Amino acid sequence: MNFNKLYKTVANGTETGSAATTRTRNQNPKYSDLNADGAHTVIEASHISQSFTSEKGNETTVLDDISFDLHEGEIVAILGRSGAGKSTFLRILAGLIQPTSGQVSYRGKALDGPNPGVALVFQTFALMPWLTVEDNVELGLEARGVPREERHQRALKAIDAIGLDGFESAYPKELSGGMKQRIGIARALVLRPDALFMDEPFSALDVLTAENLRQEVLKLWNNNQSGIKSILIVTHNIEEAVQMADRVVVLGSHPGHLIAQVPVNLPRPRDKHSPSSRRWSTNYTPF
Amino acid sequence: MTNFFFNFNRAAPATSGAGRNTNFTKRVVSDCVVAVGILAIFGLIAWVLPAINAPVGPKGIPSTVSTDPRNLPYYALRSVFRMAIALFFSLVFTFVYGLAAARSRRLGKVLIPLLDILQSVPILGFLSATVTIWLALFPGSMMGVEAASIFAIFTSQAWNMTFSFYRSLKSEPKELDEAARNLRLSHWQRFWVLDVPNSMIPLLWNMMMSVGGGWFFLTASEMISVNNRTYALPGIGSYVEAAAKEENPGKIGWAILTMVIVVLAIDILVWKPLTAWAEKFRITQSESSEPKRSAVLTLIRQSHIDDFIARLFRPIGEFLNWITRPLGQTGAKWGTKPGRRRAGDVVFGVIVGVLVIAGAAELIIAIAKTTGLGELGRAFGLGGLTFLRVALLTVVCSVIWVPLGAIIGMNPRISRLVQPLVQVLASFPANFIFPFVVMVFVACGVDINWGSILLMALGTQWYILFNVIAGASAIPDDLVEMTKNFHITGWMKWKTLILPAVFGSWVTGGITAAGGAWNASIVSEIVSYGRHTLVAKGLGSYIAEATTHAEGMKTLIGVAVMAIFVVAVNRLFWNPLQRLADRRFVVG
Repeated sequence: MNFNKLYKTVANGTETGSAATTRTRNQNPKYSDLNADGAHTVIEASHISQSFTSEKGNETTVLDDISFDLHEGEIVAILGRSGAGKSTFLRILAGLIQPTSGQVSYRGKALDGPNPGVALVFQTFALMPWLTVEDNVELGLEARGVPREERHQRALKAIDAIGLDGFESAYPKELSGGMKQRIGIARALVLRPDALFMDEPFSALDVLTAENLRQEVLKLWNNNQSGIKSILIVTHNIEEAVQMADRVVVLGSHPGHLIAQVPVNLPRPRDKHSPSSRRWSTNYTPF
Repeated sequence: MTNFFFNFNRAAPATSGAGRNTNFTKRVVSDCVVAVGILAIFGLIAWVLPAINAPVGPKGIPSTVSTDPRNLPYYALRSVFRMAIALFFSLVFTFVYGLAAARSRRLGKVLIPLLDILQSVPILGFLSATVTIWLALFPGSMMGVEAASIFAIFTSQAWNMTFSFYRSLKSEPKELDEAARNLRLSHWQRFWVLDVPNSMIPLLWNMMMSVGGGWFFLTASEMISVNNRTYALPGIGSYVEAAAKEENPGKIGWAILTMVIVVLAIDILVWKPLTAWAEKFRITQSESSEPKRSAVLTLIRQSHIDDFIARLFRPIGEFLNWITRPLGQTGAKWGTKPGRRRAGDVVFGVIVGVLVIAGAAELIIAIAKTTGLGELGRAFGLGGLTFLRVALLTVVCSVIWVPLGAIIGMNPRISRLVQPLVQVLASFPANFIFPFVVMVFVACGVDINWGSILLMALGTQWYILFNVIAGASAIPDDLVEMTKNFHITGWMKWKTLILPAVFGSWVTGGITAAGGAWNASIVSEIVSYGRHTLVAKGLGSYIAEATTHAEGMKTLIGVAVMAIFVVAVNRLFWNPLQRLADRRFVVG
């Protein structure tokens, strides 16, 4: 599959996808071994299906039998069209939605509520408008019962790390979109989660700010100080997926199902204009 | 989190100006003013408090109050004190009831219709049912009557606020809810960090409306005439009632003056700062067009009082945070599977259904045994009369005030002047001028059956005007420009733009006005001035007379019939209109 075919797969969903789907679901020997180093599995989702019953009684299947593993030390991108159920799938993995059938486990333990090892970064930032930046970042720590002085120090460190030093007493209303998303990332970072989940984190920002923030996230990932073991990004931007991820999971729509899982073996740091990156985009072979 | 509620100093950007760069003298002066203010409040409370628990004298509980105008400031203080305590209890009730109805699916199905019914029961119904209980709880002390009065005021304030809180809880922004669950906030934390701030602005406006409505029933709450006895508490309401009995228009005039001062003072000292402070809870920038200013809030922000309070309450806040953690985290457990849930629903529904049917049957049997079912028919007939009055009043007030309100609302200069005026008018208890109106009626020989419509309207038409002004001022500018550009003027403009745009606000105002009119009928269909007592034929006078003459069963019938009428009209008329407005006439 070349880049154009990948694009068409994502764009057309069911048609080109169904053949690959059958191959994926029934005969695919390798997808669970993608991380051949034997790294630990952080989150395991098996046979997730999700359907909603509308008020009139019609049942719509949003996700159809998806199985997925998230390992330590990798960035995974979930790619698909709008409406493919990527955000629903992310929320099921994060434990915010209970799947109609199937099970999600975190470090071997099945979930029966919000996933304790996951911190979310939202597309619309989801900051409490009536709390200052520092209060917003401290929220998760306060929930865990961290004492006040330690909370304060950790929050300041996290705000420093994403480059908003000096804005601790500002309100979200006074910040730009890029700054608000930095606060969202800081709020997640300060908890030192096992998995950082990002739901289309840069699609509400302009192109330059989005690129800036992508580089920031990759920098945080590379210098390994944040305690994050894995990142899961949901995106509809193919270039973003190639730039950030070690593995790209492609979801088709109607209903949402796994089309392909593609490893991206380009060396980091990745330059999206470099020849090897371009070559990969046009010429990669899925497992 | 604990210190953010008291962070008066952190202004929302639109109203910033009282930041840390005001000079030192200003801050010291503000500190002094605030300190004096706080001492004054404590002093007033200390002055009033002993009288509340005073023992009943040898003559028993007084049934009238002195009409010496020099008592008015003290009476005003007592009335305000009662209002404040009732408001506090209303707030607690709002939080508990609203949370229970919004979080528990099954409870919600029962609690919300129950709230509907409670809202339609007139406060006189609550009073007559509970006054003996309160008196028995505090024997030999004025506290019993005081408690009954506060309870009556509570029932005129609480329902509105509870509905508003429930609606806010149900419409929380989805991503904030997801963030709260993902961050694993405890129930207590989630309540103070998300639930309360999200509902603050509508809750505040409903509190203002509730207090305004509460003033209207002050007379009935302070001079309690139930079971052939009259209990009078010192307060402005009972003063007006006593002065009306004496046929003394001068004294009533003094009372009106005092009331105007009280309403204005509360507006400046309480509501204006609170609404300006509440701007920090606005989520979207779309609604508020002009910055809300308040001198009192600026003063508080310039002083050091907020830092002081924050530092004082921080350890308490931390302690409460810690102690409520075992209660669990928000959204921690997924619910049970749909199959088992449905089985539980059926069982629950059957139990509730059986209870309701059993209760209704008991009631009908009791009625048949005491007064006979014919009384029920009579009550329904009278209810029909009052219904006609309320309907006429709604139609006439809408026809008059909707166009006026729309014109005022669309003109920002006029609305800036008029809106606060209407707010104050809506808070002023119209029944203080009832004695004058009744004088006029008696002098001109006006039939009270029609005159009561005017009396009912005096108290409730402001809700329609108020809401329509707010709705008209929210019409997006680009729609108005479009009508100018396409030369849409006159009746066409009204038909295509203005009336549809204010339809939703009209419905909201109409529901409140109609509900208020039903409640007001009790004090409007039977009015007295000195020796003259005018009684109209209607459900309001039926209930009022039954209450005064201690006819318990008739009171119960009257209250039940009124509740049935109001709930029926709401379900059959106002709720479908509101759904229509939400579906087709939402602007922006």
